Amino acid sequence: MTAETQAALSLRGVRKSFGPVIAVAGIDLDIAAGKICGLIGPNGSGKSTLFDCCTGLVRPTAGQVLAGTTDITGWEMARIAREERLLRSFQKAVVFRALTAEENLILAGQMTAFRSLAATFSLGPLAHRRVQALRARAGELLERVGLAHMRHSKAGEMSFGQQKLLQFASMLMPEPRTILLDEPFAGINPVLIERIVENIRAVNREQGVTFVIVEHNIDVLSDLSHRLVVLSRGSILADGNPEDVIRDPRVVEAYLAG
Amino acid sequence: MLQNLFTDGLVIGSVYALVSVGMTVILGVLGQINFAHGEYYMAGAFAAWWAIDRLGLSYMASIPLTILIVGILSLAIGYAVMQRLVDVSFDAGIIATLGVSLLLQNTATLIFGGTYQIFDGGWLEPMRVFGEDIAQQRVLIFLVTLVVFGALEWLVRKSTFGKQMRAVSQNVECCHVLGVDVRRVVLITFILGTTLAALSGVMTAPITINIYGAMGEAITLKSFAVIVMGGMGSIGGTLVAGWVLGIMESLVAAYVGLQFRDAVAFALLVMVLMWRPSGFFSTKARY
Repeated sequence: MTAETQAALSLRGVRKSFGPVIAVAGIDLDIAAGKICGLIGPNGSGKSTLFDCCTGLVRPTAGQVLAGTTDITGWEMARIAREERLLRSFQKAVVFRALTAEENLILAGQMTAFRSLAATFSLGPLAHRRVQALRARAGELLERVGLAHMRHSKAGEMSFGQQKLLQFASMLMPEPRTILLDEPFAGINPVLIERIVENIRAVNREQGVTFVIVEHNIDVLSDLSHRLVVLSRGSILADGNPEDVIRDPRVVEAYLAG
Repeated sequence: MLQNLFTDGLVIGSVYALVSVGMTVILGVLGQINFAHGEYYMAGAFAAWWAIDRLGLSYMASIPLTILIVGILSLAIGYAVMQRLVDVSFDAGIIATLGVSLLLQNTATLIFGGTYQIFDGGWLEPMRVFGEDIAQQRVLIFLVTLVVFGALEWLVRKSTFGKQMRAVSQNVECCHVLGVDVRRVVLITFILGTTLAALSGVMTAPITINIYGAMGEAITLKSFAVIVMGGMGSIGGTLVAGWVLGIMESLVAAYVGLQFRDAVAFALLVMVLMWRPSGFFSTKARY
């Protein structure tokens, strides 16, 4: 890392303990902008807590989290999403179940769109044009994730895998800079996994969106990622090129022992 | 006679609807019943009384001033209390809003005294509507209610803020993920809801004449009955439920006895909970 500006997300000595339990034991990590970074580790190694520290769900006991050059330590998740365009998904699918696929996406585009009070109660043709633009973009994204045929279906009626695809698409509506995915392939059939993988690659390549992905499916992840980081007991065990990392004897041992 | 009772009921029902719709939007967004809601109605009546009686303003001028005063009050309470009720248990919301209710009631009693004050304002000249003499103020209440409900429907359905309100009421977690400032939405909704209660208070005071610190209590409980009847979160449903309550009260007061009037809301509440627990307009009825 030559300059600060090249890191989309930086952790500086991030520690998190829950009482006597140390979940994250002082991690330093720079995620390069425009790259896909995989994060693996046995259960209880601190992956999810690290994600929570980055996205404001828990406050680190010590250390700093930076998005670009902005110190976001202690910010709330919504503010991080709104101001730094750093979004995060969960293992479960978080969507508006009562709304259609298209409505979900339009809503996602409107959530952060208007900042001023006047624009909040937006009036007239300007607002209408804006909704038209969002609808067009929603259509493109649904096409992209292969849900175009379900445009008018309620999210709650979709399969789990489709809901995850929809959630992925709605995270792209606010034009994110960085996306953190928490087990995007868990509970999803291989065909849909392939589709999500293709989409992550395409979004990364075309829009330069940085991805950090926590996943247990090491084969898929090491194939997708530019870099693989292995956590064990709250610390970084290995870090580097995916092919090298998965052959590292310490990593193999940690997984077998874990 | 019957027509008279009907128009009376419609006007009082409009007052109930105007207060209750604020409670229903707050419930929708925050998932909490605001048990201090009637206190903003009281605060509206007292703010206007103070402006007229102490500052010597006209009734007309007292209305925007009232909205401003109660708006600032609810900004403070919204910031200090209501914003913290996102994602907390329902019991915590009950305790917190009941606490606010006690605080506001007793503050009003401390400032304005424990006795009734006489509200001297409003347009009480009769005017002829459909062959009947009705005080102008009553016609005004009815018309303002229609305008407010039309504007609210538009706000919730069409504006970006309305979409955010609906998003927050559906799935707070999803809003956090997408970067919606949930607390800002809660705060604005709360100020909107409480100032509508205050508007209702200042509009109604010329008719009820007597105002006092505890006048909001009954309004809170009746509003609760109205929003349940209206289907908890339905704006149109709240309007119709308010009217039904007003008309029923008016009929019961005339034909059964005045002392039974305040029981109507609760009798209706019990009946709705027995037969149509999702409100008048829900397709789900219980047989």
